Amino acid sequence: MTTIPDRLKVSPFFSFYLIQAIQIGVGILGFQRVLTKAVGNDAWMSIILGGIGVHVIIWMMYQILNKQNGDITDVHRVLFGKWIGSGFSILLIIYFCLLTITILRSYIEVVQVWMFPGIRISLFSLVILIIVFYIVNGGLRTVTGMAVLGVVLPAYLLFSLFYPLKYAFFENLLPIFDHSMIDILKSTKDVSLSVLGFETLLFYYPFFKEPKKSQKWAHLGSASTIFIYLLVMIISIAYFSEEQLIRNIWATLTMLKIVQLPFVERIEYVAISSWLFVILPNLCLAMWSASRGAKRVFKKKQRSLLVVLLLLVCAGSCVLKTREQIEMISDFTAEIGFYFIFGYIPFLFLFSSIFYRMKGRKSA
Amino acid sequence: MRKVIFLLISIMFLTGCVEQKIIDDINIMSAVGYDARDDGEVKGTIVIPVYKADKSISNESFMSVAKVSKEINRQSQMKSADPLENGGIEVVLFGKELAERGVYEITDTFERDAAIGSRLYMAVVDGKADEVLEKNLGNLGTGAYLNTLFEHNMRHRELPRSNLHLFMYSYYSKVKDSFLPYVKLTGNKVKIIGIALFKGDKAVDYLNDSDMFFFKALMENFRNGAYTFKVGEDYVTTYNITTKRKYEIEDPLTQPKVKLRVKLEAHIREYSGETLDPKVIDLAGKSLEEQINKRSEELLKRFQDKGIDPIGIGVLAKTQTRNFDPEKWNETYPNATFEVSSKVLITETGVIE
Repeated sequence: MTTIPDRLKVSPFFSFYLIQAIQIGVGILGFQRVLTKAVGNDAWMSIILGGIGVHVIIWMMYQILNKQNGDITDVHRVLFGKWIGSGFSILLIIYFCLLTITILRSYIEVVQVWMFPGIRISLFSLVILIIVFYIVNGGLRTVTGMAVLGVVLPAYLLFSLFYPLKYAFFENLLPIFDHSMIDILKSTKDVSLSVLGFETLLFYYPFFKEPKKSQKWAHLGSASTIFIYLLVMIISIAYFSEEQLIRNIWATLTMLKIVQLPFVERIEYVAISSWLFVILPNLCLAMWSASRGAKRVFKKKQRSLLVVLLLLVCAGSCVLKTREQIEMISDFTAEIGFYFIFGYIPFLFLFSSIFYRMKGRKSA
Repeated sequence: MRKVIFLLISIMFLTGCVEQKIIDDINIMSAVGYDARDDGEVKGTIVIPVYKADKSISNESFMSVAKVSKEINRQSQMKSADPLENGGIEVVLFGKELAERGVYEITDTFERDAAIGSRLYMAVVDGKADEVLEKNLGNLGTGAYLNTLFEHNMRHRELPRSNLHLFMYSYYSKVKDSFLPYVKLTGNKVKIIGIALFKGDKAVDYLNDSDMFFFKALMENFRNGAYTFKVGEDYVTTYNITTKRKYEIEDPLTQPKVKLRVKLEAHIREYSGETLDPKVIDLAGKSLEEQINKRSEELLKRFQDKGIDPIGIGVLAKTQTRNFDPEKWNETYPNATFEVSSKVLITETGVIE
């Protein structure tokens, strides 16, 4: 287990920002559509259920990491040996790169559709990725700083949710339980997809000064994310009729089209621009985790690995041209992410529990 | 040195990425109108405000004929000196004939276009939309005039709220129908003469001015409004009307019974008779109650006969039924019976006793 020097570590309460910053991303701009398709006006219940699921997973991750007192590459090496363990870690790195591509490309798509149709994807990706390089290069402390900014700065956008309330018909929430409990449970999958990314915790866990103390804050961060999702979902259900909500790809942004302020004609342009602050910590955390993992596996300098990974991401982002392709890659990433979080982590949790119990028995 | 070069390269990347739109060099569309033509095509009229050097504002309009509305924009671009931008559209007018033929194709483009706000006002014109838009209306430009006309009438008067978002909301909800203001060109002004009721995207019925008050009372809670009615031989004008309404529905699936209770508070501003004593006030309240009950029931029956549901009785039924089937509801809706009861409270009678 490598020890991390104290000057590179962050205080435990920053896990609040680290978790929340990555859970809120492009997903919140349009997560309503899939959920409404599945369970209509009961979608808010699946958010609560999905949120509980996420909390359980966070708890499991802490259990795994607490026993190891290292990051996921250590866990893999100890549990599966050097070769198989490294294999798993590499899969994880690829997954984080995919996640970065999805986030970056989805954001550029929003900018394309809503603001500048003529934007050049390659240039825009490159400019953003240069910023990402600059931040990740500063180490986890800089990334954490970005995460704090990413949570605090765009927080004012929550106030814009008051405007749709004028046109909200809360009777749309009735009747409760219009869909069966099984449907609601099934759709919790779609919820977990939109909060993907918090598994970066597996990499930055050893960077906390007192890792065990950060758990409380991680749960709080996740709870606040779920609360924001719940708020947006309930307002969307009330503001749109069901069919309308299913038709809108970015329902949250469409909702902002109703806002009218004396000094700015259309708030969604401001929102999309500020959204870069939400996207940046997402990209930085995912890329930091990927490069950190690569460093641990390949034992090379993190900076050069980061450059390689960023170039891969940039290429990946430029390849995707149409809405269908973007949707395909994000569905694919989401699918992998879902099975990783709700399949692999519980498996790892059980496996490591059994492993340490056996080991404890042997040494006793 | 490396850093400086890096910075310079970044700056080079950051310039000239996208098309610039400088406000002095574009024509901002403020209102558009669409009319049906006999050959199935649509005639579009686009109005832009022209700001003159003496600070007065006049209008310029472009007319084009095409199959779809974006093609109208393209045709008009070919006539416009500066590029036309559609982000500033505030009002859309439909000619009566087009409204009866269906407006979905046009409203869908507006909803789809990211540049266009959801607050866009839409209205149906008695006659042709281009006749209205050709005129120079108001002193702030036709678009701004129409925009403020609808805004204050919806906020403080008897016109129920409607805009692009609410229109699409009702259009897509299977249990509610939409409506739009119905206007007419009278001289150099546009007058709101009633409500155009839609079934799907087609206008099927028109309410006149005197029904508007009751229609709004059915639709939403009043915060301000005025109504004049007859008490015996004299006329009473009430203003500052605030209403609260409550709907209840029984047996929504078999024999729906819709109960509506309206609570109305108002001030009396004008009385054409001799003295405004408590007896008259009491009588005025009673007579207003009767009128609300009668006219509202008439309206509800009228909607039922036309097979439309602008109030959202279907929404009411839906909130009480799991696995709601809109088609079944359409079969039971004609069987619904209505019962309106109201309570009027005259709170003030002006500054003179």
